[in-house]
Amino acid sequence: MEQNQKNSQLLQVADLGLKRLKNGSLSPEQEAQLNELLKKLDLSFEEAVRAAEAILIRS
Amino acid sequence: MNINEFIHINKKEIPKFIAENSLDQKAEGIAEVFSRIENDCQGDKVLEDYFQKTIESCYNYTTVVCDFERVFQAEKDGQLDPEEFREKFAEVDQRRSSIHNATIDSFNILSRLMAERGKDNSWIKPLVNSGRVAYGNLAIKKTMLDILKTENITKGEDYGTESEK
Repeated sequence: MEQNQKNSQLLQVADLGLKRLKNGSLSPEQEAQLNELLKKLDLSFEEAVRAAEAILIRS
Repeated sequence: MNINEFIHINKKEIPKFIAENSLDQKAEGIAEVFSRIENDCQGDKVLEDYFQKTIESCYNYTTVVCDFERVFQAEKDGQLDPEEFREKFAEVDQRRSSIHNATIDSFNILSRLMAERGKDNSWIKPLVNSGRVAYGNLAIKKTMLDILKTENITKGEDYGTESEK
């Protein structure tokens, strides 16, 4: 998967994940979208952290 | 501060953080640290509230970092002209900086309150020693951990700590 696409999907995971953490739940459609993204990305925590750190370099 | 200067400073700080930060990089280490803090806060309303505020700060910081990244992506994808990019960058950068400060304050206040009540606050040392980047990095790690912890679709890893099982 292209890195740009992966970054964009990671951002979507973070967006949806944050929404769920803050609101306690997501709509069924959003839940399905999040699950689908996580399946595609197949992220472990360490991989997610590495990706997040790549973002952090700029932040 | 211009963008190049901004990127340059943070790139310099990150290896320092990695070298000096004794918090375990792995999920289990992060989960364990937060689980220990949460346990120490339990039963004290003030500490419980501040612990919750600190977690919310972590989520807020990750949110603004994502906003920040989105501005860069939009510029890269040609959706923003240079002037629009400068404006959006300035707006998000100001917000990011303010939320970063609030996150640092949250961790520091929680640590101070815990110390005042005779609780272990040794977890703050690697953050204080490493500086601003370390706080932001930990906030993002905690958020990612919580996002992935609630999912079953990771690579079969279990991020729960003993106390959460």
